[in-house]
Amino acid sequence: MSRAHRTPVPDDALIAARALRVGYLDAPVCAPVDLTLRAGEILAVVGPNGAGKSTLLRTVLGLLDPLGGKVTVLGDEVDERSARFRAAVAGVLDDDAWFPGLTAREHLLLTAAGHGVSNTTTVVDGVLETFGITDHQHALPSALSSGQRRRLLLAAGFVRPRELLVLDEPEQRLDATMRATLAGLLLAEAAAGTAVLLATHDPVLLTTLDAPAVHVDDVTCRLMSAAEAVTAMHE
Amino acid sequence: MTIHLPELVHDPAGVPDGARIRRVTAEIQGARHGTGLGHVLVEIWGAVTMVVLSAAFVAGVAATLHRSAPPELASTLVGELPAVVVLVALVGATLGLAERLGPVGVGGGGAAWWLPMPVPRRGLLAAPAVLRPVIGAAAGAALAPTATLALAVPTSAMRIAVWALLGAGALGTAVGVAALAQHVPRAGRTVRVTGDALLVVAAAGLAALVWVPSPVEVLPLRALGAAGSLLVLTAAALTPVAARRAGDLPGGVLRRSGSVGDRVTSAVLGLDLRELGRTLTERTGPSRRRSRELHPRGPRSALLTADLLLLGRTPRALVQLAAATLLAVAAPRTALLGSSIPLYLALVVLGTWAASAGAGGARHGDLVPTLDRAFGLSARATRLVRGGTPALTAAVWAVVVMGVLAADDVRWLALAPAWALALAAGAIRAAYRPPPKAPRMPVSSPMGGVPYTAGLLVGIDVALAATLPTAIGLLVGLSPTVLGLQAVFAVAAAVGVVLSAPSARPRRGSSRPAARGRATA
Repeated sequence: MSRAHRTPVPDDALIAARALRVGYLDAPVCAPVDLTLRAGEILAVVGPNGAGKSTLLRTVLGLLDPLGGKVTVLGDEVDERSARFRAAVAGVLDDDAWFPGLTAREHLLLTAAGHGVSNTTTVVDGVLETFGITDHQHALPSALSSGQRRRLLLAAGFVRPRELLVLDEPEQRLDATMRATLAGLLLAEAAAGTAVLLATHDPVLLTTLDAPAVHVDDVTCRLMSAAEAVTAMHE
Repeated sequence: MTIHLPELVHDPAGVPDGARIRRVTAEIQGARHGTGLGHVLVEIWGAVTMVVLSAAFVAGVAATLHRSAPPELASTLVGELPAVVVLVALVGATLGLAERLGPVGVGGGGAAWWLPMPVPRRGLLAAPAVLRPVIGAAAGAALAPTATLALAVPTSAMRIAVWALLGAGALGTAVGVAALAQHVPRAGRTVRVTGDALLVVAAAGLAALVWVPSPVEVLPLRALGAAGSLLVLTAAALTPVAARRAGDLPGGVLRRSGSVGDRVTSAVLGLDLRELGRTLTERTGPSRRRSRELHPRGPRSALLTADLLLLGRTPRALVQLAAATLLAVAAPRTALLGSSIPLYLALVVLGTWAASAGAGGARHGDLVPTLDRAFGLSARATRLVRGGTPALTAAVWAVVVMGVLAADDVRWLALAPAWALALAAGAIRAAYRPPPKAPRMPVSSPMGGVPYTAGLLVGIDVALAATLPTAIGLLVGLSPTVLGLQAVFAVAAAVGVVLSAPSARPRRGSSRPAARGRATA
């Protein structure tokens, strides 16, 4: 279970943040964050636009240095330079960047091969089918719609091994059907033992996942239930 | 609804090397776009041809200008000592540019798709880590001999080769130093400040050499060769170290550097100098400063105070102002630029550069009009107020430069206020110009396709038009009529730039500007 109190870090925590300050340069964007996430758990990060959700996720992924406090991932201080870290932590941010000469399928095959997956064809076929982009697998990303590119980005997180999955507003640009599929995928991930940390604005997704949430803003960061978080979203 | 994906068969030992990932990606892309040996040879041939033709062009222009220069100027700023100063300026510019670009970074698809992989990064980054110093060295090998040609150094094949060696070593070493500085926290700032300082020193050196001409025309070839060899060896020693350590760079650093590189490339290809300036002068240092007790008297005063504070807190802008002033002081005494029309063009370009140093607030206001909108001023009033800092920097430049010129003819000093106004008008027009029209078809030219953009000359066109009477005055003499006309042209340009903004005030409660150009109101 995830907790937002300054409690000792449990031995089995995949992510543990204590009084973590996140921001750019030397300016924090939200109140200090406490959170704990174990294998098989889902934890949402909610809050208004600009509250610091994406900044928090980027810090957990090692793309930004913490401004203060402490955060550990897989039991160690975050070091994105470590191959072990990158092998275990899958992050899907809103990076709309591609290799202009590679098709959608080739992007996924490259990702799978780059993580040492040996049954790349089977895995990529299955993930393409799940995300509904099989018909567009041979298209260059520039020829895909915004929603299809979002599906491709998400698919990249599932063609590789992972102990921790970090998603930044994965519901963005997805239709209702795909959002439901996404919720099912995340529940399956948790059931398989993967820890899932996601920032979201989607009350339906949050309700479906029934996951606790950390509400971040510039005054305080609080742990709340999914129902409380959904209520906070509507305030 | 629970969904099951195919089971992953995964072998950590099967993770490929970064170099292999880079190669496979390039091979797939190359199969579509063509990167065979023939393609590479054509690219190399094109680059070599361009460098040779450029050098020949510079040498030809330099020779023509030297022949046509007034006799009293023919001996100023020529020889190898000024060439050394130019090389120092090139090293300063390279240090600053390399630090701002990383120099090692991964942008675009590489940042999103390569960097998350658990592949050893040294192999992934070795190619760019080696390539950057090599590009620096190649640029130095081309630019340093070109500088000697432009400064009328007596040429021989051996001397050109030695200067190529010197340039390659100096710029290759500069990039290598910047690459190693990426690994040391805060060292980047030291590199950037050093580069800026070298630029100012070089500009001051050129200005000094104009007034105290170089005592020697050529420097000992043996000493130049030894210095060049030493620098090349230093660059050759730094490059493998930088390549070996590139794998230790954090992903965040690589992504940021790659992102800057992508934006710079995009701005250069689009001939968008405003975006290029924004990208290269973006603040990367501490974001906190000691707050001052400000007491602006109304919205205009508040806006002007914000711009003045921005100018004072942007060392790069102050360096730009100093370099533009010193180079303009040197220009009239050089054989290349000392005569009438070349001198006029040099003053317009350098003056516009100086004025634009003060237009940072206006450029930012055009991009993010939040502050401008907050005050409820009309677009015209905003543009007028935002012209305050460019007018200040242009005035500093004009008073110094025209003051130096007044040593020969005191009437130059009377031109200073009009030039300050004209240059500020140009800087404001450049800051508020429309964005480049990227989707437009490139314009066909004898040198190939040129991207369509109205942005490259916007701003300097106003400066040129507004200072036209001075150009005429340089040909026929600075008569009172010319001085009067110059004042009229400058005022007309300033009024025109202000009036070109829409006159409507923002509607109360509107969160969105009604149209572009009204964005700052």
